[in-house]
Amino acid sequence: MKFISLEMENFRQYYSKQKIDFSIKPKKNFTIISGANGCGKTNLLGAINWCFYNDEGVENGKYKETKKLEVLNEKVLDDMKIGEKKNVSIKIFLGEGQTTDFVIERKKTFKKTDTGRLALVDEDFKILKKTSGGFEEEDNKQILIKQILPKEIRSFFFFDGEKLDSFFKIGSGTNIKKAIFDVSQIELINNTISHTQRVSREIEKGVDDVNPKIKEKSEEKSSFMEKKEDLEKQKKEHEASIENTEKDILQIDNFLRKFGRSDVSSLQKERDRLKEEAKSIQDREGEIKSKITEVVIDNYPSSILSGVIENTINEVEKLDKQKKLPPEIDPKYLEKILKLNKCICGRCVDKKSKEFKLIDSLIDRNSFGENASLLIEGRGILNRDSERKEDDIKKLDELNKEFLRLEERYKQVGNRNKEINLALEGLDEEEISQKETKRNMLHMALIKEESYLAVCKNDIKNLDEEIGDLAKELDDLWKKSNESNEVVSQIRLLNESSDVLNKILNEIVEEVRNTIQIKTEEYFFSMIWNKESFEKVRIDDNYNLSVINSYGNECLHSLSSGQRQVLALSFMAALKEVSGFDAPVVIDTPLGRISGEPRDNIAKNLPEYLKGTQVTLLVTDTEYTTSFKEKIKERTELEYQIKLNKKTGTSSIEKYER
Amino acid sequence: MRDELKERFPRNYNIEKKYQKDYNDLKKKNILFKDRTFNDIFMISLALGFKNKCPKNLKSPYPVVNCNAFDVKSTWIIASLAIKEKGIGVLSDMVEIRKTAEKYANGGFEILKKKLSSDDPGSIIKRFEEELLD
Repeated sequence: MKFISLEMENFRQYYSKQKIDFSIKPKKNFTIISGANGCGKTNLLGAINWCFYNDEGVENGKYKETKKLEVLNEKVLDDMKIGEKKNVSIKIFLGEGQTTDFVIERKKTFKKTDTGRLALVDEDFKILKKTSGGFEEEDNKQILIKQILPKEIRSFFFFDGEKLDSFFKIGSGTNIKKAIFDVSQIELINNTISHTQRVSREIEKGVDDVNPKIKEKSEEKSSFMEKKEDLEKQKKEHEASIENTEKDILQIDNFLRKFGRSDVSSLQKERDRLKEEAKSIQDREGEIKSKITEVVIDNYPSSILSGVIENTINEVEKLDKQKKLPPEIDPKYLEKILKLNKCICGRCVDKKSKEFKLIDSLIDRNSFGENASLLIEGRGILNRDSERKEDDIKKLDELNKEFLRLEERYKQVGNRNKEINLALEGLDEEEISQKETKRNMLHMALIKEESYLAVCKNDIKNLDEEIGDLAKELDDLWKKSNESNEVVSQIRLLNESSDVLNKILNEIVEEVRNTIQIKTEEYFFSMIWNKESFEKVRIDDNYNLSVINSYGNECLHSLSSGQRQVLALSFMAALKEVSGFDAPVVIDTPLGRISGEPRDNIAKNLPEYLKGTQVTLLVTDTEYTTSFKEKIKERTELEYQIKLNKKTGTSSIEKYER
Repeated sequence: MRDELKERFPRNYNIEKKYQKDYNDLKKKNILFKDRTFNDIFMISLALGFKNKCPKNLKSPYPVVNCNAFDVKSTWIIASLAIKEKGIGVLSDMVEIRKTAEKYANGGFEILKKKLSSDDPGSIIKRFEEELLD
């Protein structure tokens, strides 16, 4: 599905009627809409959201609420006479090919009342669908919107490039997990699982005169499941609280970063760097711990059994000295020398020579039967392993030293952070000092919430195990019980259904996770300019996204802002693709806050982005440089400029002719 | 690399049947054996059984350790243990080699279980590492 055109009237700063036709050619499917900061690009993204979903999109993880009067253009509002009515409307024309198949229209009508206030007097939302006899109004509007692009996943299609970076900064695992779950559309399966479990519990409870052991176990399982449900609720609350607290901290950080005093902004910037460094240290420490575990598990058996290994080597040596083992040269080769009477070096080996006798005796040395060659092979393997073990021990030593260095640096980072906190809190600027105090309190609250969440997750994990064991026990007990077959089969069917559904759920999420990982990597490598510096992109079991560099190390936190933007754009493209919805993509400020060379680097590869998908880019004037234009032109059919009239504060959209 | 000894090994090595779930749990959930095979758990158990001198014959053997997953080093550690106990001639008796390894791994697994229930994985690795460096 593509956007064919968009018509809007009096929406926010867009005065009167405005129209945009979108690029719909398969190979030239980029539409560029440029404009200075504050001219209304983000409101254009808001307009699309408003038309589809009656809100203006997602901001800081929440739906941006639209106050009913705000959408009406202010100049229109000023010009309105008492009793006069004015419309705000957005009409989006969509089509599979190059012509319109659907028209989505949202309209609100306002009236200036006798007291001069503005009142909403009418609102209308309709979808027209093309039929053989023309356009007809669709009854199931919400179903159709769900078919075009469900609200829950629209943020993978309509998004703000400037905000993408925070996607990976704030609790990335949680954000990525949420995105993957959203895109998997598994809500229905989740609800079905809860329902089957509830019904099964009800049936179990309702059985009278049941075997007391079944009753006891069934009650126990029931109580565990109730506890688990409570814990799941608590977990969601903690996650939401963590997310909100992180956003509040981020807002304060943004405020401090942009504050008009250089000492404040530089302290905040230093704190940003320290945060990144601390995260990177923790990641590396995690890697080191894994490597140490790997080396220890690999070498522990041979180390503990070094005595028996040595014994084998000595035994083989002894046999060798007793000439009970064949030489470490292939006997066939020796036989050939004797047959040809000539060595490989050209020397003559005739039958009477001492060399002939020596080689002949070597061939005879095989008195230890079929195990002789095996023992030689074993001696070689065990000797080589001893050498490898020495290398591994050196590696362990290096890893431990690096770990200690990192620990030391982590402490320094922590201390410097504390100094910055104190410096900001103690500043003579009241606003800063208050913000900083609030930030410190939020930080404490965050640590507390994170520990609650960890406990909660652990409790859920333990309960899951207990419930699983009890379910198995109960299943066995039901099988052996004298209950009517019908009840037993009902319970077993429900339990088995729940198990199967859980399995399906996990398989779907796992598959989606894998596919997103593969697709993110594909996009990342198609767009990144220094491909040779990276090896792969990974999303682990805990939904943490990482980038592995060519040295095999995790480097997400040391990526440049440009590289991070490419990663974020790649992840969004992967989500979009995996969602299976063929909706257009609209990106506000695709290059984020990146400037200079990294911007040119992204621009160079942006035409590779989402090939086959219609993309609309809302770009700032500074973003849309000549070199960017040059690079993107092969995929661009139509360009627009948003013009802001500074006197009236209204904007209009004008087609830009090349 | 061709491993002639492994080719002579029986297809599977056994563990005590009651430990089957523990082996599964360790492989799935314990950080020490994440992305590892049953063979690694078997080898660590064997080392612990040997270190603590507590071989224990199996009461109900259950085949879970696939010999194909042993690396060349492990096959020779297993063989060396049997050679130490029975002499070099044991190389002609793969059943005896298997039984020797199984009884040490069985005794060692009990120790491993105790360690895992009383210590966190980090401390266990730290102690193993100290022994390794000694």
